[in-house]
Amino acid sequence: MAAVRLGVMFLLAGALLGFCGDAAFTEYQVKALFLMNFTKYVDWPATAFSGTNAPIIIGVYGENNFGDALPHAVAGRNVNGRSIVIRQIDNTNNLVTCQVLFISRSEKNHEGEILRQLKVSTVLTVGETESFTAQGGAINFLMIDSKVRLEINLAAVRQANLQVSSKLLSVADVVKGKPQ
Amino acid sequence: MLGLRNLSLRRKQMLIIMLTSSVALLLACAAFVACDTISFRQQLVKKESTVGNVIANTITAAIDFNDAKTAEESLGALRAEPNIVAACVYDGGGKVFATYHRDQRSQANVFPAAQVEGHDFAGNQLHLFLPIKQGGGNVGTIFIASDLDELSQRLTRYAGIMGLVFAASVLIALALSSQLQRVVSDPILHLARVARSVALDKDYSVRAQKQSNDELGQLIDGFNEMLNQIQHRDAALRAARETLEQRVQERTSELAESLSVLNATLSSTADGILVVNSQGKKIFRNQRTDELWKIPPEVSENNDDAAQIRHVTNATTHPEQFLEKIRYFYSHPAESGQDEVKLNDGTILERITAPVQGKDGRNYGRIWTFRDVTQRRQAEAELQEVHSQLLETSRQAGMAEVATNVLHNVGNVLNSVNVSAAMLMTNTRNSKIPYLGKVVALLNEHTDDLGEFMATNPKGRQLPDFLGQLSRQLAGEQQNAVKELELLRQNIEHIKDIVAMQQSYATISGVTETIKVCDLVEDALRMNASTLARHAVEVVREYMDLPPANIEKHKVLQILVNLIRNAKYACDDSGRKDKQLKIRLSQTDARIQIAVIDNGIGIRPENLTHIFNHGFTTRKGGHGFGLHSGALAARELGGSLIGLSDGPGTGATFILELPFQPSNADA
Repeated sequence: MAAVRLGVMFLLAGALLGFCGDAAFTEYQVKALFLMNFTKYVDWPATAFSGTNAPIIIGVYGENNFGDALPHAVAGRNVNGRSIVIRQIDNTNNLVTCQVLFISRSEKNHEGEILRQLKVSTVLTVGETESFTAQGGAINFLMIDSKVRLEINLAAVRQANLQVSSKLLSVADVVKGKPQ
Repeated sequence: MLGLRNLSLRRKQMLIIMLTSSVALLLACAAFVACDTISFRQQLVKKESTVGNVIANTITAAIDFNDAKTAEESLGALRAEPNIVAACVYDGGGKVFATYHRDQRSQANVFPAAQVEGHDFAGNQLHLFLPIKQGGGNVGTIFIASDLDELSQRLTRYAGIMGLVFAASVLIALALSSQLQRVVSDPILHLARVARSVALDKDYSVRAQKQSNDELGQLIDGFNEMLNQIQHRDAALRAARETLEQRVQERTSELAESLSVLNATLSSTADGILVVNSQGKKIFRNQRTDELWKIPPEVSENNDDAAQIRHVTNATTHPEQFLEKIRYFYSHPAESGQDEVKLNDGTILERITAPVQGKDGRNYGRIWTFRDVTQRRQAEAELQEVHSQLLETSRQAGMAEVATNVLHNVGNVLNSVNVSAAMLMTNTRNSKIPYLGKVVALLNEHTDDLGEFMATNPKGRQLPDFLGQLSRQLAGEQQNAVKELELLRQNIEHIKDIVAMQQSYATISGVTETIKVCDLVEDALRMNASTLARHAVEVVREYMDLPPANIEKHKVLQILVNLIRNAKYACDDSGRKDKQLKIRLSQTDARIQIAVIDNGIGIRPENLTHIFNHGFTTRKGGHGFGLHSGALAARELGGSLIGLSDGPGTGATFILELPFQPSNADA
């Protein structure tokens, strides 16, 4: 009995900690983790990389709200033998140098233009505006019930010649462009 | 256990078989159940792991993208597994991320803290933790709790089956054992029945039937052989017992007879006999004891030992000494003794006591014998009286003998004295002295003319020659007289010696003197010297040189005088010419021997034992107490007197042996 009661106490304590932890994650911390996790569920064609051991580059275009959350999330991560590098992109000419491009909310007015530039690239575009997928973005972060949710535009993904795991699709709230 | 021990062999055997088979069956069942339980659990773990891994694979993205709803939808697939009660997913931080419950009831389940991997059976549930892997790393953990209801159902089912199998096996084993045990128990029970019948009926002729050639068959063979031997021994014993009874009867009657003879002997014996056991309790007392002690019938018939002892004690003149002796002997059971008890009425009882000992040395008690020695003691006293009188007579007789000898010796000497005196008288009477007177008268006549007379007168002229002759004559006379007087003086001296010897002999005896033995022997010879000379007996002396000794002179002298005199008579009576008396002195150890050996008539062998008896003599005119008193005197001196002879005509030897006590003065 004593052992059972002790066990219950530990479980309660664990639940509390979990709750606190959840509260501790900010929106951008979650988004940083998600960005990192996309690399696990998306397969790039070999042409997307400069070499077999070339790193996966996550680029951030526009205002960087992540702070140090993004470097933190990718620190020491390795996906299919590739390390993950964070790069701040300022020049639109450099957009195609990355495999994942996060377009900040600050660039809302330039989204369409940017996405158009990347139409024939193998870059997985990630945005955080309501019109992002409509303008041809691949994955968009939605805030539902103050939780970060996903919206995936399969047509855009396919156009970028990317393979997205069905697991990723299963967790997405909205999937557009599904083939009929 | 005790109850089991007292069961019959048949039941015991069956019980053992049943017990053994049941235990074996139970053990087999237990092993089977244990094995099945373990394998069931292993399979359950395997199955749930497979299910969990499938779920885990589909759930990675849900974790990665924090999609609890999707995760729970995935977990919902577990509904296909009815035994899974609850499940949950922990994210990378160990926090519960999504949960699954089979039904309302299982929602009460509380999920344990996250583990990476592993399983345990807690209570009635299997708790399984599986890692959720994604891209080479763990993104979370899935937890599955399954109930073990299936196992319990299986176990219940098994229990039923086993119960049935067990019951069936027991029944079959019972049936088999009840038949098979007969193989062992039947011969044993048969043997037991035979043994009981032998024990009850004492009939050793029955035999057990052998039914097999195994150890039981050998046992029955052995039993039969034993019975055979017992039968033989029984017969032999019976025969022996019959002869034994006969022998016992014979022995008993022999014993009874010898006992009655013994009793009659003891009753008719002249001695009083009293036997007590080692505790001093009276065992036997014959009639004679009562008579001797004058125990009145009322005391005798009463079996009170104390009263009887009181009676006999009071009858003695010295009761205390009497009792003390009794007490001494009762406290010294191994000693024996002899004394005399004087009774108040003057009776003297000789009391002899000795331990009664068996041949094995065991002490059975003590025997007292009493003998009336009153008359014997009186006779002995009288005899002593007579003896002392005789001794006195003997002494006096000896003295008389000595006196006779002395007188005889003195008489002999007196003859010589007489002869000497007569010769002196004759010589004196025939003396020429008167011629001297005539010469004096002649000279007186011629006083005036003496010269003329001498010169002229023829008578006067012859006078000097005459005076010369007379002088010579007178000188011869004087010489003869002196010679005779010397002889006379010697004889008188001899007489004085003899008288002195008699005086010394007559002095009171019992006084020892330090003298040489040979001198004593010489004295004895001298006392008999004249007799021996008269009868022409040659005396031979063989003396060993002995130092002076302490000797009671007069007793020894008396013995020797007697012996020498006897020897002289013996020589005399033989009538031979070469009569010889030999005296030999010798010494061995602390004793001296004086042997008086004659070559006279000798002694007949049959008389050798009688010669020392009082009143025995072979000589006419003998008193018959010379040797008797001599032997007595020798014994008084601590010595002995023995006589030896080879028979008539061979002479005799008498040896006086005395203790030799060298004189201290001499030493």
